[in-house]
Amino acid sequence: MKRLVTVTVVAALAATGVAAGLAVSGADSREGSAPVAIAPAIESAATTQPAPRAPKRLRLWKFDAPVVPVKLEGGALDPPSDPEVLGWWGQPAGAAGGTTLLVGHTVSTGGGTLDDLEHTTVGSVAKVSGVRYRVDRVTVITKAQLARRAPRLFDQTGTPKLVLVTCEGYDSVTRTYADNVVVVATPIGAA
Amino acid sequence: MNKFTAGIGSLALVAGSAFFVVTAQGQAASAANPQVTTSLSASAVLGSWVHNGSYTDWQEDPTQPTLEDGLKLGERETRTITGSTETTDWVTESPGDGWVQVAERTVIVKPAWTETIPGEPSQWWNFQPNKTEGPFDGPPTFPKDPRGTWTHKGQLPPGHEGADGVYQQGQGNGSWFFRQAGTPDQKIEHAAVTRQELKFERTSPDVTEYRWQILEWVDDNGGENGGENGTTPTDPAQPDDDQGVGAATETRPDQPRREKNRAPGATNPRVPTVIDAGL
Repeated sequence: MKRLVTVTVVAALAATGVAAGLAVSGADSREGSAPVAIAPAIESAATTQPAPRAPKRLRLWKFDAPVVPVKLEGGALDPPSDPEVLGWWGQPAGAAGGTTLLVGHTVSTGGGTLDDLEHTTVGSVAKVSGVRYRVDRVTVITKAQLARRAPRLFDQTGTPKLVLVTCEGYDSVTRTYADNVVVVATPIGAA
Repeated sequence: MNKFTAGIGSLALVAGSAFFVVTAQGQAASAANPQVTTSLSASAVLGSWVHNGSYTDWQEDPTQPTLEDGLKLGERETRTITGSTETTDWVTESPGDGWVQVAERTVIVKPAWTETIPGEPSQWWNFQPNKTEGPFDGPPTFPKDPRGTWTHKGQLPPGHEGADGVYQQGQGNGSWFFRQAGTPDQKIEHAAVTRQELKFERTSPDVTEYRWQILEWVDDNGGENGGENGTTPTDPAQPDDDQGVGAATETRPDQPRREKNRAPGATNPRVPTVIDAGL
């Protein structure tokens, strides 16, 4: 519908002469040039980026675990109950934009999939279902800080990235965790 | 090109001499004004730019972002994110650039200890001449001598200390013996095994961010501009089996689905804010 309207307008303005052409330019200077500029960019992206796919497995340092989708409940995102399985939320691996979030348990007595995530080395490479990511940041932040940074950290429309999150700072008295470990990695190509 | 400009074109088609008036109106409407209402004579272009409830992403650059056709920016909002300080757990190396070491500790992986290597006990043999030998003219040869037999008697008894070798007790008529002194226990002191652990901090300064209302053209007769923007509301961030992106599927759409009237780059309010991942 929109394209048809555009053609009609252009034809109409052409019929009115040069002055009409100026009117088109003033109304929307992008008309006509956008398809030419966009097409090469799409082709370039298609040859360098791996195809998006649902994460099935994470391999990073000593971590090697299967991944299943998890759903957001209100503002809370809980990993799968099985501490040896990771949960996935957000964008697929290899997406053109947005955060691919993987969450997994830390177990105070050991055996959690993401135990010791805070010791991950910056620069190490993660592989998620055929997509490679380079670890850029490893941080331990409070849960309040996580909530404050969540909109940017888990943004679904910005720069593509992989984020791994687990818990840290176990209090043996209250049996709760005060902090989150956050690992941020950026895609570097197909595995 | 949006419907508003399409209206301009239509007017140009039916009344070419009137297009200058229309252009002026259009340029006025394209200014960043959230409530601009045109007053063109043609009813098809009557309407207004209204805030559709969504915003652009927060950005640090105060320059206005570009939206797709059919949408325009409204009022700008500003917020300041107070700087914060992140602190690492105890680690053995810096997480990267921008981190400053603020603490250091020595962790004893294994305390210092003393290792004892046991010594060898002393040894003592007695020589018994053969009975057929008659008067024995020593010394016998150790460890074998055809004139008799060496018998191991255990550790050296008190009163027999001396240099290793064959010796005779008494003055020419005593028995012959062989002695070999023992070695004492050896003690080796080992230093503790330690590891240096560090804490790092990174301070983020205050950041001012901007976002803009996203406006869309709504005709006075109630019709919205650009029907192709009216997609079914979905959660762009939610893996959902119903959308064919769950565990049983291999892929999900590359681009997030858009909520109704949501422009690319509009803020997505639904992200996790609590992650309890500890057992």
